[in-house]
Amino acid sequence: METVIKAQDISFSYGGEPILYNIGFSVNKGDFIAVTGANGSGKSTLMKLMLGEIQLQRGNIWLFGTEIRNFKHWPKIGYVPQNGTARAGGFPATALEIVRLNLYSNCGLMRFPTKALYKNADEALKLVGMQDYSKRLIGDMSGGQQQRVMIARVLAGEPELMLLDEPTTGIDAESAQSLYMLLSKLNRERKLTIIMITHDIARAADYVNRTLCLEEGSIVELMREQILTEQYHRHKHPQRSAENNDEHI
Amino acid sequence: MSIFEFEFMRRAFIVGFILALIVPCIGTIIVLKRLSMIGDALSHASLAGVAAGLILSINPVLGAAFACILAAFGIEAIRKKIPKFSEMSIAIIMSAGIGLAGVLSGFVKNTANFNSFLFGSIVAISDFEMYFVAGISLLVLLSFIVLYRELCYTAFDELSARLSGVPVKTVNSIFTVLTAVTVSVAARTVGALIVSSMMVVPVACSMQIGKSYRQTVLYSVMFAVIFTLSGLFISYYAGLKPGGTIVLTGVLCLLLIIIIKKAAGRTVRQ
Repeated sequence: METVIKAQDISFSYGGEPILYNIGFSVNKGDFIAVTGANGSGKSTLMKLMLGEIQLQRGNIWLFGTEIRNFKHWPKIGYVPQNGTARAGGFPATALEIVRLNLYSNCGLMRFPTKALYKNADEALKLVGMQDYSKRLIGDMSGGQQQRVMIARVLAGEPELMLLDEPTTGIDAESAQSLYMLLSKLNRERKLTIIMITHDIARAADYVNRTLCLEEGSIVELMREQILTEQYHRHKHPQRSAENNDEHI
Repeated sequence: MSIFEFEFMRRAFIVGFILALIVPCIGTIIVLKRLSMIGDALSHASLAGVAAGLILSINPVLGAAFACILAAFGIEAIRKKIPKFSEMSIAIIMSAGIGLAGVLSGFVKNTANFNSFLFGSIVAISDFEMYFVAGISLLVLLSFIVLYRELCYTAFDELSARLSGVPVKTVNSIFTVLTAVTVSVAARTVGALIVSSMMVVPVACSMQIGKSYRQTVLYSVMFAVIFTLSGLFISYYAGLKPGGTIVLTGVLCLLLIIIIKKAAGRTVRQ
């Protein structure tokens, strides 16, 4: 099995306050992983480290077998940012224009996309069920629709790994459900490796094959039974579960 | 028409038209990067360059361009140091620019020349300045066209742009220089105090009616051309200052668009 990401002994702190402590994990090709944990547990920090957006303080990360410091094939990785929809909301561009932005990874500087690449963008929109909205301004769409366009943008670049930072934030439960179904389909049919940060683990657990939980600076892999037990308690004692959530928040 | 009988008016129309092509191109990216006030900061910094140019007896437009480039890189540097409060970098550079311009203006002998940069003097453009504006504008326009996709993607999301292979740092540096030189040449014509309006108002108008990114860019250029030309006509026949008239024409148009859009929305709902 090909290893897409390998992280070893990662420690990271902000202003002397440790966020991640000696974290290690690996991601295999075809994995669909949910990363969960309370606010401030270091989920977004971990994602930024994997994207090379912030420098490692200790430990190392290998992307597609290459040490992150020497990694150059960034177009292999697609990223859907947190609050991506909020940012996109005010941007005066159509869904198709947004998706076509990411064709850059296939043509580069001073070279314009070919007809075949433009077709890639059309197909990416079709894949996420947004082909009828291609001419619509991104700001005129609902949060769920905007998030689908963000995913189509990533797909147009034909990545091997997709990272999503809380993709269901700010969208309704029904849209969130259909977004998970879409990601699951992409994972199954396109063999796309997906890592997704989410607070919505109860719903996401039905679609992912692994769940990593960040807690007090360390990372643990949750077994499906643990998540199902948590779901059971949520149904049985919704009040207590809500209180627990509040504590996390 | 009698207005074009005068050489200075013909020159004003040519320079105004050229600037109207480039200022909104830069303005679109600035607005989308949420840095609308950067024009103000740079134009105030340009005043320090103008004062330094007049003191050192070098062309004040060159002095303004140099000061603007320094200020623009200063803003970028501070923005990176304090990313969570990036707008503070604009306030810091603007204050520094005003302070320096204030101090240096005390040493300028010909204050009338210095004052002409405050509100611009599009009708007093020299041959050298006209060619300088044309040269700079051609450079800015070509760069904007070549970097069209890169600038759009960087304005949309820098991290995603970097992942897809856009050389974000280089693109940002080039854009910083383009912004600085655009502001410095525009400050000479419409005035340092109102140049940022010229950058933002046409974009604000086009964002009200544009149905795509491409349309937003094209409409903002169209609006800027209309505001500049009509502003020059109005200022000539009404005996008003051209820089201020151009900007006020734009603001009035923006208000009208907003009112009409709101009224149209209400009619559709009914």
